[in-house]
Amino acid sequence: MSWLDKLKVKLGVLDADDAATLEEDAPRAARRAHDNDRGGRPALDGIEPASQQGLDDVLAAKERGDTTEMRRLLKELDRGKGLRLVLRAAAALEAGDDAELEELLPKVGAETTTWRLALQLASVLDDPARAEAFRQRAEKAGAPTWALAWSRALSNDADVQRRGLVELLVIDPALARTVAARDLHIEGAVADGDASDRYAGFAHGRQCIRRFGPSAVAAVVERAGGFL
Amino acid sequence: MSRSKLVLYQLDRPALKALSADIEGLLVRNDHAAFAERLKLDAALLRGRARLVDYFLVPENDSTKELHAALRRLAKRDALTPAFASDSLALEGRLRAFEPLRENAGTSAAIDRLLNPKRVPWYLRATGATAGWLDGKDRADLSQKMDRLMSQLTPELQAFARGLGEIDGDVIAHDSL
Repeated sequence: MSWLDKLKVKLGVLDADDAATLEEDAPRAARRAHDNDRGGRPALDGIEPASQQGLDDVLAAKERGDTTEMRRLLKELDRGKGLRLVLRAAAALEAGDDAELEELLPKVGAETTTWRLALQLASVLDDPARAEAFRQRAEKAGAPTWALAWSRALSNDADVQRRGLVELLVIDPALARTVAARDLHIEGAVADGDASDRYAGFAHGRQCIRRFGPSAVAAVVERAGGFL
Repeated sequence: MSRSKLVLYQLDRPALKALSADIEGLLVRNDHAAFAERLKLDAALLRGRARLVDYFLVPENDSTKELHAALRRLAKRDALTPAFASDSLALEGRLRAFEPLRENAGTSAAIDRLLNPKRVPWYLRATGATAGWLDGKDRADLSQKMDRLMSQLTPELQAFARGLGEIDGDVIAHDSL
């Protein structure tokens, strides 16, 4: 975690969980900064240059149908925890690679004890019943009220969505207005800078799951025994 | 930092909680007619959007300011009694930066809470406005601490301290109601 994120956590501006999520792509950015500092000097002989890949590259590979490259990148990026691990397992499930899947499932099971992954899935799954099951699991896992309200605000069910928006407005008006602008594209709504860190911390993972394919991610999480 | 005149209101907390629950319920039920009636507004003002809550998810502007103003009027009528109005534009700046007040961590923290808009319900948070709330115990503590510093305070802070001391129970500070 960067010193700035640590300071934000200490001041209460940023949740520790959000900071951890934002860090998902941080090593890549840090390596880039380091590369820029080299002043154009060539890499040392025999030293492999650091990887420049991140989740965006993984998802881009998946979107162009290059599953081999996608799985190679995921294997390289996986640090044994977090969303990269879950996506790697989902990719193994999709590829029918039972050996890799069985190796990863116990670690995925540990990830499923947190509310964040469950709510991110609930927010992007098309199947309302399946989404609700993940939402309930997140609630049992101690999801904060703002996150539950946000998840409901993205529901396909109009009544649930309205209730979620009202709850979010009461709990965190800045986040409610940001969700209205960025997620729901409500006419005239404008993202509020006060909510930017909180929004980014949750939305980044959710967007990755959406791009990867929520059904596969949900399936691997369910199979890991965490939720259903 | 804003340059506006702070007002202290004695808060009827149960009444404000009841109002908040009432407004939340109307928004969840999406009952345009009942909402207009509750806010004493022309129902025509609420014909622009199918979902009531959407009016409050957009910035407060020409098309929504009347709704926000009506909500705040309702809160004032039901739960807020004006108790002290400063005539000094410098008061907020003094509260935030006057050294004798800032030297004591407890005093400083209480003032910050009283000037923190996140401590009042969403409908009392006007764009750019200063607002905040202290419960009865914290208000009494701050009042006592400011009393002890009275001889060091500037005239506008002395007036504020006296106003704070005359309130019974919870207080809300606001500069835009």
